[in-house]
Amino acid sequence: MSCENVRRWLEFDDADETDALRVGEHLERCVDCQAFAAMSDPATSLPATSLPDDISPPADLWPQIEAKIQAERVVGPTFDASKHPGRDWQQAASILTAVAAIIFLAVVIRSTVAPVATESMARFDEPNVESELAAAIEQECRGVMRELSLAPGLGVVDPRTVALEAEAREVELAIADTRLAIERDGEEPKMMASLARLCRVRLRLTEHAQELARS
Amino acid sequence: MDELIEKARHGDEVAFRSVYEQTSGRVYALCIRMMKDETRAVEMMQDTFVRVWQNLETYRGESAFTTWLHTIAINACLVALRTQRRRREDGMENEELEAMTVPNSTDPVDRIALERAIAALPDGARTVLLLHDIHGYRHDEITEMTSTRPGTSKAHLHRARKLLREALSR
Repeated sequence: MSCENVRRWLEFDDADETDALRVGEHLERCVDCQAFAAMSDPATSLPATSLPDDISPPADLWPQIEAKIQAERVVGPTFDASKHPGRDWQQAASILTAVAAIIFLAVVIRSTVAPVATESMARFDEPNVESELAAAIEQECRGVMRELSLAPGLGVVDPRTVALEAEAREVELAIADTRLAIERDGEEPKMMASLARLCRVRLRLTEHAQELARS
Repeated sequence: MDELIEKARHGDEVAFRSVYEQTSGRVYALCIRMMKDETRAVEMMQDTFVRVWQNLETYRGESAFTTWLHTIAINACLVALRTQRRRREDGMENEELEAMTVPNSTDPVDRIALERAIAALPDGARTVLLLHDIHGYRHDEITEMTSTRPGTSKAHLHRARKLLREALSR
């Protein structure tokens, strides 16, 4: 990214937020742009620091949390991580690798059935193209995803894993919602496109999981 | 606090409630400004504290407990916002979010305007502004918490402050 584009990104409203990573990389190595950013930083004129960093939550929130903890049969800590350094990471890595491997296999098999790989990825979850084999893989994949979300001690060591776990759960819910909507309203193109998009998101998550497992 | 956390790590729910009482105000301030909606903020609080309880044994004290807690909260909010945006793009959610109002607020108009201006910031910029300017985290801590690069965090903050200044001067 050029200095001009970086400065434009910093100064204009219409900048695309997804370019933040590239702007950040440029700022880390460009002394001129660092100076520009420092000179134009409006920090001192802002009263944001005067806002309270503590706001009382609703009084009935704790009973809700307590009920959730008990309803989900959340068990107290049973594993002392400090006595087994690295064990939770090994567990996370093995589960994440298993998820990645299963979905990768699913994609390869589907690609063999349908020659256009990208289309087959998009169509992988469409109900009308699921073969018995795909359904079995799907079921196995769900089992592993469930294991991923239930694995004790998984994730919190690294916030990236926490985010991944939460996102996987959200995507699974969104896929389930979409499937229900399709069952209810029929295979409308818009809903089918949503389902395909969500499935691609799940694949991207899996790739991310694989990267994390490798690291 | 350390003693309470240690007790909670061993399954003491009373201790965990005390931890909640001591930390929930700052987490809620973060969640409500991130989600811009009280109901969603409450959901994020539930999600965060249930997850904290489930994973307390993995907290090793390498960072401050509040940093660890805020990391879980901020990531929960970011995931929820991404899902919300995706659903809106897919036409599954049509309603526009209302401007955030901090409950029981009796503050002067300029503070309300400031809260609204913060709520209108893009997600990335708002996240860094809240963590840096309101909760006092350094860029290196924000980088750890949000899995970004230091330059990205600084760029977001610069942009957030600029957009905020413009919004307030209108």
